[in-house]
Amino acid sequence: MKDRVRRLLWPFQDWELEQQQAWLADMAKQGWHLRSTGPGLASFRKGEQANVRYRCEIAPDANQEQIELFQAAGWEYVGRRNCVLVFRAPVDEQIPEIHTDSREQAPTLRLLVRNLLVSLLPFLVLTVIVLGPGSSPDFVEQQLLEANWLDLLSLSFLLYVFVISLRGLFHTAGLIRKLKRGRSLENNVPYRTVLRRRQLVVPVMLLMAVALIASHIGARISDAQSTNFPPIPERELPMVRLSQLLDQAGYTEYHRSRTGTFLAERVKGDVFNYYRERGNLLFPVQQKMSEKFDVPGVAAPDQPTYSPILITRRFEARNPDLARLLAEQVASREKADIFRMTNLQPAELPGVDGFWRQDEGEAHAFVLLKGNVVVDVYYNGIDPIEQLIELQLAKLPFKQR
Amino acid sequence: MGSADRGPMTEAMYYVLLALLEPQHGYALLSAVSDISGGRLAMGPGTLYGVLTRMQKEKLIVLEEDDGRRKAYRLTDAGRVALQLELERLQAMVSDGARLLREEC
Repeated sequence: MKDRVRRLLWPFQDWELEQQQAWLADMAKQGWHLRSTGPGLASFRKGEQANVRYRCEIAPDANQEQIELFQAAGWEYVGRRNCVLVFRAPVDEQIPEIHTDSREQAPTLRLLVRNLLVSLLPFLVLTVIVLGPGSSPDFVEQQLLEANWLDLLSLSFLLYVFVISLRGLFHTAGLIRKLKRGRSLENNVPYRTVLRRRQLVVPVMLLMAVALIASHIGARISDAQSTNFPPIPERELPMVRLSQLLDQAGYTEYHRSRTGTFLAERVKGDVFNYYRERGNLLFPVQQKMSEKFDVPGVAAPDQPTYSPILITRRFEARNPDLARLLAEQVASREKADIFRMTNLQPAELPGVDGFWRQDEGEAHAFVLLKGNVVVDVYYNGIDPIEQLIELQLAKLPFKQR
Repeated sequence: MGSADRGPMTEAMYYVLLALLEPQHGYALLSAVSDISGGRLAMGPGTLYGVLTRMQKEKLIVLEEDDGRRKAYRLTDAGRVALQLELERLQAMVSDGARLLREEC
């Protein structure tokens, strides 16, 4: 007759030695005998109901000498899961316990501590990278604008693993202390509550991990396929168009600069003239527009042709507090680049909840805060910045969606 | 760690060293320890394996031969000295106890 086999997710961590021993012995009492072990699975074979002792030994590998020694004493080697070797023996006085001196057993658990410390290491490294001196200077701004449900789920998942490892460390330290005091590990600790919880949590966490990996890959593919620099739409946008400013300045002739297309082979679209929309958890509306025009016949101080550029980022936060936090982060940002100015200073402007600006020659930057809306503007041109601020102010708040 | 500055041995270590006055295979030590202790000490294989591994690291014992399957252990000179020191320590403990208990009676 064919053996009846039952495969179960291994519900315990390596460091839950007492729980694993009690669980396996109870399974044997019901006639389910451990057949083999895998990284995440336990396979049981149906047989006679029996009182069997299961013992979990911590070892770096399945050492043949160790196994033979245990076998000589009457212990059967069942299998290995990570650093846990599983042995069993019938309840029989002739077969001594594997460990007859608890103090000698304590050092074998050091390997568990080492493994747990190693598993905590990536979190420490991650923390140093994120918060340490080498971290991105505009980390808060970046997280406010980019954190999404996926990141939140990934973070919860990492935290779960972190908490489990930390608990393992404390638990193992407790076991070592117990052994050093001369007390043996227990073989009938209560484990059913933990087992029921794990049988629910472990599959959910596994599914979540798979879903997260799949979503990350999906997001990468969709990013790679989307247009990097989509054209500016015809409809009215909640930000000032460069043409409005040029009209006010009295220019009669100007045209969209195409200088950005020199990168056309590497990117999709015009790197100087585009409009992008996206959103995340905290800032569901995030818009960015970049425009660059050439005005013939007008020379700028450093260039033969006057080519003003206007880059506007507009954000709608979930609430005004978040908007203020972002505005302050953007105004005090540390990382400058060709179209970003740093250290904007607070200034007075009626009709808004916050205003910061910075001016250096033809380059100007300002941040407007009103309610839950933040507008971050970079402008490089010879036309008056005050006009641009006024025009942008008139666009606040913008209701049309 | 030198044998002189070692702390007291565990019972398991002491009996394994005693059993190794004659070179033995690991599995034979289980019954040897039981025999030497007159059946008083039934040493578990995990305890024995731990003691053997540790004493090898401390160079109290060495593998005399290794034919790939069976390993036989024997005492080193350091192991013999450690055993002698432990015996003297135990003798001193026993005689102190015996003297004081006799005086009390």
